[in-house]
Amino acid sequence: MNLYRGIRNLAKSNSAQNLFLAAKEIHNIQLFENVFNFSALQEIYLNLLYFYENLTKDIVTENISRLVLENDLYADAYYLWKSTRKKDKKENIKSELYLKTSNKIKFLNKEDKK
Amino acid sequence: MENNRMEEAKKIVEETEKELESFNILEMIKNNEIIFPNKLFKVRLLTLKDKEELLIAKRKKYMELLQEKNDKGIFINLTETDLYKTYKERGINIEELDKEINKLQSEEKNLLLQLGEAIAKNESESILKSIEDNINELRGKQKVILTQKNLLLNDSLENQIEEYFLKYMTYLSLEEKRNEKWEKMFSNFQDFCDYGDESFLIQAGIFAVILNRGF
Repeated sequence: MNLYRGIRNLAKSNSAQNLFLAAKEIHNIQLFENVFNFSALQEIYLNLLYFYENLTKDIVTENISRLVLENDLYADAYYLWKSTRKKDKKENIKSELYLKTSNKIKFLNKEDKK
Repeated sequence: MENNRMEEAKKIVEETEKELESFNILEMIKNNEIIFPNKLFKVRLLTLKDKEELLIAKRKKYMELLQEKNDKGIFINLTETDLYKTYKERGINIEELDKEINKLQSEEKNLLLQLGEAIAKNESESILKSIEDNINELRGKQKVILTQKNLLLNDSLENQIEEYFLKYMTYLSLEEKRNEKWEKMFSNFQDFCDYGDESFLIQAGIFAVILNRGF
């Protein structure tokens, strides 16, 4: 839908990103008139603000192509790949952590403690 | 006749989408309401009380549709599961369409991951473009099959409930400016259903969905 594209463009704009950053750091700055009961539209907009904030960080730190800011499909694909890679990494760490049983572990009873 | 109505509705949706482009998106997000260009009507976010009324109305309608029978004592409204069976008996297999959609979606996900990795590795624009084209081709195929499936299940009990839910949501969200004050446009749901200007209601429906449910 074209409106969705419009919201994406707004969320990645410098002014929206600056306001978002300021609202996170300065308590008095609000993004919306309401502070609770957010509409679906507002939730989508907030997600997109986070999405483009992370993407901009990756352009600087990971040196990825700026094309992700021009093409929505590229942005979505990169984010999907990144989140899948993160998930895989987490699972690898989990499978590496396991308790090795050995004769060094001693289970003490009350008398031994004394 | 039904096709003409569908075409007409499609035209209104397209026009509304075009119109929405000229709206001030920031205002729409900030205020939790969408005001019509003539400034006389608006659609607002539902309150908790509205949502409760909406759920009660939906449940009531659901029970009504579920129990509705014809003169011969046969249930009139078929669920999606019933329709799957009925179509299968007539040689149309919706499960096959589902399988095809799942297959295309999984292919699309693989290509998206491939594209994401190519972006991370700073591959050339021509490589990115070729993967992009493949994704768009798969999406086109999915759209065709989904349309086929939706047409087959158009009159299911679930779809009738969804249609009723959206209508009721629009009825609750719509307000009119009277003497400089915003007031509910219709005092009851029947008045909403009897309203003559269908294109206005479709437009209001789109606004209500965007605001209350997203895209």
